[in-house]
Amino acid sequence: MFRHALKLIWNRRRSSRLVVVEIAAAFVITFLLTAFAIELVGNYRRPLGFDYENVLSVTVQRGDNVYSMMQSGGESYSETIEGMLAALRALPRTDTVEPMPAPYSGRTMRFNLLLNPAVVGTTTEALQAIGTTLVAGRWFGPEDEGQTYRAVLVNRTFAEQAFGSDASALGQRIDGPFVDPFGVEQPSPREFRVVGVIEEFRLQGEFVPSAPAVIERHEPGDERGYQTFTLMLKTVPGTDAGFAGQIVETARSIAPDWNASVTSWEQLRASSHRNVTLPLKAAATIAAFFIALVVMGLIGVLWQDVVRRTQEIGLRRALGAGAASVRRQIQLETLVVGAFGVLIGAAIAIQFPLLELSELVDWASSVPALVLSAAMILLLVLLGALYPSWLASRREPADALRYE
Amino acid sequence: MLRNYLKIAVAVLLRRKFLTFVNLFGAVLTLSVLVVAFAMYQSVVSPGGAQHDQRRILSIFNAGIERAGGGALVGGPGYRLYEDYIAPLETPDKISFTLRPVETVAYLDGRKITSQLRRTDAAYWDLLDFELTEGRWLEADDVDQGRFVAVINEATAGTWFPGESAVGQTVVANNESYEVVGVVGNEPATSLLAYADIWVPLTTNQTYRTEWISGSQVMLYVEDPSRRGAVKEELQQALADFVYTDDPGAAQRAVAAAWTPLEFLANTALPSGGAFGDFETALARHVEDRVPEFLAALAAIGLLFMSLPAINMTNLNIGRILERAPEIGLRKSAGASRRVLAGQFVFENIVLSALGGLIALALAPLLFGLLNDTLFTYGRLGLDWTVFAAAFAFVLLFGVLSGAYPAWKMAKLEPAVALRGTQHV
Amino acid sequence: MSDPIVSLSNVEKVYRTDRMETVALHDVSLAIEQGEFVSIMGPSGCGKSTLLNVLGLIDRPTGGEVSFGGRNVGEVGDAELAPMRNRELGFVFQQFHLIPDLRVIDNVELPLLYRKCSGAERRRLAREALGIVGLENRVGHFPTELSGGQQQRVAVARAIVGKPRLLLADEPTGNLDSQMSEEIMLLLEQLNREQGTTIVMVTHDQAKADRTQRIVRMFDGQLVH
Repeated sequence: MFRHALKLIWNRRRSSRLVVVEIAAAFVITFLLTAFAIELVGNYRRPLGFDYENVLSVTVQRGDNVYSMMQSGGESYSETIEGMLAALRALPRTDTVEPMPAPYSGRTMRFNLLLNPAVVGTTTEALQAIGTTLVAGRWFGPEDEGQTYRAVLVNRTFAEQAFGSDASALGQRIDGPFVDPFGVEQPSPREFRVVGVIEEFRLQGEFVPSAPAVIERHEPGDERGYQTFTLMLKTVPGTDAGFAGQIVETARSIAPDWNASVTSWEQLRASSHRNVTLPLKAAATIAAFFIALVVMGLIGVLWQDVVRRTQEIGLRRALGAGAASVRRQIQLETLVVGAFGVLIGAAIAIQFPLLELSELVDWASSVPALVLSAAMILLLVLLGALYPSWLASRREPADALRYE
Repeated sequence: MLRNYLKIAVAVLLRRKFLTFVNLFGAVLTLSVLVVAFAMYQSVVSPGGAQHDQRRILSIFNAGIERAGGGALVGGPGYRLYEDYIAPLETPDKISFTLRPVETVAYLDGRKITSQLRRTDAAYWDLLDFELTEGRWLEADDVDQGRFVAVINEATAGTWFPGESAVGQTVVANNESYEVVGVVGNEPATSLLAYADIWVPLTTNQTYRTEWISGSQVMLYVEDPSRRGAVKEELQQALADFVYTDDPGAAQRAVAAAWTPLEFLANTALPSGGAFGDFETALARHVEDRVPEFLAALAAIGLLFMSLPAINMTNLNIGRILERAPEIGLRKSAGASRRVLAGQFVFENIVLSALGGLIALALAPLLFGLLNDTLFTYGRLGLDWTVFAAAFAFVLLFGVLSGAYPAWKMAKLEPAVALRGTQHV
Repeated sequence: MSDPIVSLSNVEKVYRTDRMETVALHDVSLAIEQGEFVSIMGPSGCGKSTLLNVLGLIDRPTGGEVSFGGRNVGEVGDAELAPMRNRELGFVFQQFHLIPDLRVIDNVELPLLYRKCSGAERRRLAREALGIVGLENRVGHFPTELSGGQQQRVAVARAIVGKPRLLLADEPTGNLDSQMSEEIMLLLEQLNREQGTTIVMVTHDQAKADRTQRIVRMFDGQLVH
């Protein structure tokens, strides 16, 4: 029976050409949409590397006079920051307060470090308060104080891309020479040494693929040269929104001519998400249309093909084939043609990760997408043949033979 | 004569109800997706509403400052950068600095309300064209004095003060109170410059003043659209002399690009080659014209995806013709000419396409209404007649062509051959 | 006296479309004995083909009873009916109904696919049948490459390949020239005489009908006596 079906398919190959092309096209489109969805979901579900609940971002800045900053020098600035930190720590609702820039906002990047990563400067206490996980090495500690190198933590992505594994990254130096604005190559101003590897730290949020990230150990004096200074403040659970006002007051009490503003990390996250969800919704709408086109198109074409074979179905029944046997044969043939279309479609689809045609379609998302799409298309093909073949085989043979 | 053809066509189409449905569904879907995709594209590139004076506005969304030791800070153009290097530009006729909307929270009768709050200067209201429904816009005086006043949109007014006038009342956002001075029409989230729920003066929170890079946007307006190029050039020249005055010891560079929404879309949608790359690349990327590349990529994707309905239509047409082989043979042996036979089939295709078009037109308001209400905040997606006409012409033309070819070939067959039925065309 | 191979009792066949009802067969009672060679005659549209279809178990009547080998076919499900058709019956259709995508040899083999038969055996029997109708040198052709007469002979070969007990033929010589026509008639007579195959043939050629043992006449869906 299988050989018979193959014979039919082979003899019919000329007229099946376009159906195979349609199945292939449907496969490619389904593949692209699936790969994209997998990539997105994969990104979303990967750990952020920190908890954003109950964390506030406190931005303090000196009075808006540039020159007063230069005149007052660095010392009193650092003193003021220290004073503020102490005062904020004393507040009953404060769990932890440490220097740290807020995620989901403008990035600092360092081009003289391997892989040009995004960099965040903060302390061990801050990281532990927001639940960052250490997977190798150690946190920053007193042993890093007063050293010639600056201690850094790198995320797994960085460690794997730069050194091959977590453990290999420990103790490594990740800085290098860079080209200054005059085009002259300059040596690295300071050694950056890896003391630990963290699971992940996704500054830009859940929708962006994992990128190399570096956390540098905050050192006193880092704030010199900047008028704005950002702190993270983790609140005790159950703190209400009014606490923000208390924070601002406290900061003002330490330095009356300074400004302070408070936002929650949750709000920053929501704002940042908006930028992503809008195009995503648009893409999802269009994708839905195309899935509908794929489904209806394939079912329609297969329906038509099976109905055109009504006479043949009647003939086989008249010759003594059972209704189930004829249906199975039709479905088998359809499935084989479908498989052929899927293979051709897969050959095209695989060009995407192979030739790196798009950032969004890499091997990690392509392989499951290929499998899923193949399953979906073949299922669709089977369904498309199921009902019409059942309808046709239910007729009396003479009736089917008469069909036009 | 035409009525006769029509009657026959309808009768024939009704004979195979499911397949007619599939054909129609395909045509309606194809038309709808083309129309919706274009509407979405338009909503970003040419949002209309307050931002309708598209051609005269360039926006700076992205900027970066290179720092000593190979570092860089990237984000929006901060006030310091704006103040020293952008505000003094002479080519633009109007310049405005605004912060990007941030999410704020308020509690009204125990309900949590989130609103997007945007801090603007006075020039913002001069540059954009908001539809004022009550009160007034923010003015230079409000900004100079740092008054805690706000302009809110109709949706916010409806939430806070249903059935009343909003002017003179108080709204709260993130524990800060503002007195409402005006109400404007809703602007969709795709309007990158105009979108917000609440607008307040920049000066109500001073943190922005000291930042070189922050979540902000700058708008540059020229009366004469052809001067846009000159604006871009002047900006690049001004930035070439950049000095980081907070710490001038370390020589640094700054980069910022003034874009139309299309250029912004092109630059953000296209992959930039991994993480930021290096500063040189970033610099180059910010000023090169990536719009042609973007449009080409869009066209390629469009063609790829549109191939599916095209192939599908062809398949269905060929199938329909093959089914009718005996009928055609019969009519040919009865004396019908090739032209009549093929013509009738093509006419059916026209009827199908026309019907599909009508249905798509009827569904469009529902579809857009749904999208505007559920997916896109304050969305203004609507039917563009030119696009619909073009999409309809595509579906019609393609339907006719993909039907005419097999129909002609079938009609050429000897009646006896056709009568016997054949599996190929 | 054994059962008639197939018998009809007060059979009705009515076709219903949305708009009208056509009575194709009305109150037809007929018994075909084993080994008979029967022809059915009548003007076109009188229900000859319908009668043949009912006799050949490929069409169910809307009223009355059909018995095959003494068994009431109305109570038999598809699972049993299919092997019956396969083993006992052979059909030569007026429109041939050859599968255009299969070669002649594969078309003739077709009934044998549905019974336990090895590939080699199928081939052998098919060649044999084709030899009998004189088409042994056309085995690899497709039906569309053959003339009407050749196609008819392929249809006959397919009908006899499984050595059925009952052969039903709808105008089996309609497309053939006088020589070929004669050859087919001789073949049928031989099958009937030597193999004992029961044959029911629809024809409008009186000369052919006269060569059969019994002529059943129809008019307007009813038997005429």
